Amino acid sequence: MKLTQYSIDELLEGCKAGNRKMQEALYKQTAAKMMAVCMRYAKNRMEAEDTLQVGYIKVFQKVKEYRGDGSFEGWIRRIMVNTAIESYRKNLKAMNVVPIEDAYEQPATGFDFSRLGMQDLMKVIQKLADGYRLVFNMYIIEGYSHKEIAETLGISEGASKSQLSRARAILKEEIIRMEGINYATHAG
Amino acid sequence: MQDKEFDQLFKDRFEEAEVQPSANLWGNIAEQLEPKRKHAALVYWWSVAAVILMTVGIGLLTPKTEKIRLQSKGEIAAAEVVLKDTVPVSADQILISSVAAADQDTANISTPLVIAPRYDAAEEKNNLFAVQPNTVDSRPDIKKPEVPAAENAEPENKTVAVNEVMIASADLSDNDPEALTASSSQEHRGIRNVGDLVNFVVNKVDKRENKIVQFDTDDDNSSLVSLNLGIIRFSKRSNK
Repeated sequence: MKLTQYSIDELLEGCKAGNRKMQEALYKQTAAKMMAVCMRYAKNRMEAEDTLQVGYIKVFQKVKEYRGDGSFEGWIRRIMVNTAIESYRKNLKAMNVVPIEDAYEQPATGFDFSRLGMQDLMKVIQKLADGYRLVFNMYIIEGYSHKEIAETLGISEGASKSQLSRARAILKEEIIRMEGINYATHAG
Repeated sequence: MQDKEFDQLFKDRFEEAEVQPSANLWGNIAEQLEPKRKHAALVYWWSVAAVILMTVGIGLLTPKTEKIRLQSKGEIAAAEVVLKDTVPVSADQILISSVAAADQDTANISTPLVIAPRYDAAEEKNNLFAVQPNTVDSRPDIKKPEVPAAENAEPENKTVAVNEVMIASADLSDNDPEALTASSSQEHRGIRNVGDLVNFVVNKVDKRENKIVQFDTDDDNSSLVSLNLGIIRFSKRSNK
């Protein structure tokens, strides 16, 4: 759906005026990208769509406050990320630290990660415990510093760092396990 | 694979990632954005409906307000006469009349009291005096002890009653003309807005001078002028 009928400026003005047609056009133009963002922060599709919906309501309510510093799309993306963080904090079940049997620093020798596609990565990232997924997303993809993460989530910087390395280790292990099964079934 | 490469892989894959959300999601968002505009208008009309319903309801619950006023006027007239006439009457006369009253049925107590002094042209007075002493004389002595008690109690009761009625009547007579002109002028102007409509309905149902609710409709924005819910009263017009 790349029927870009309106320029970003037109969309922005229309949304600021509360024009429903322009709001829909903005949604149609950006929803798929934002859905991908929400998916990274969610356990499943349903949770992601909840975040997306709440996020867009906020976008249309706050669009008058957008002053044009940074890209409009980046501004929408930040709202989505913040919405996801908020909803995590709302149902904060502590940092859900699931102990795993020494998967730490397991050498993933000879495994070619680079052939993994986005959907594979999405699958494993959604399997992470909530806290791990949040820190991994914020640090690796969104580029927050450990200090910012610590402040946002109310944890120590050290905790943020250790959560990240745990998340990374779990992801690697999970990918190898999944691909191993795939390989086994194909070979069998 | 090093951590750096691993991280970069995720960054690259998610950089321009797109996932189509469900087709009905925009509908949900639009629905959530919609209610706001409708809401204000809905609340307005519901409140208008509520005021009208409330007014009609209270009007039906208190239908006898007018009758009470009519009765009170009659009583005032009677009471005034009694008050005027009893003051100059001597102790003997009170004694006589109260004894006469004590004889009568309690329901009729006021009538002889009122009638006797009210129509007292000089001649009639004499006639009545001629009649009444007989009743006193004919009374046996046993009745006499009761007289002082009745004498003390009755005038007191009457003055209290008179006072109460007098206060009520003072209010009514003071405010009546104003209330009448106000309500009649509003009815003649016709109904131009919701405030007029409410005033019209209220005027039809609530005949008291302090209506349950009244709006000022001189300007186009109807504004609440007065409220009378029995316990809670509110009025923008200063009380004279």
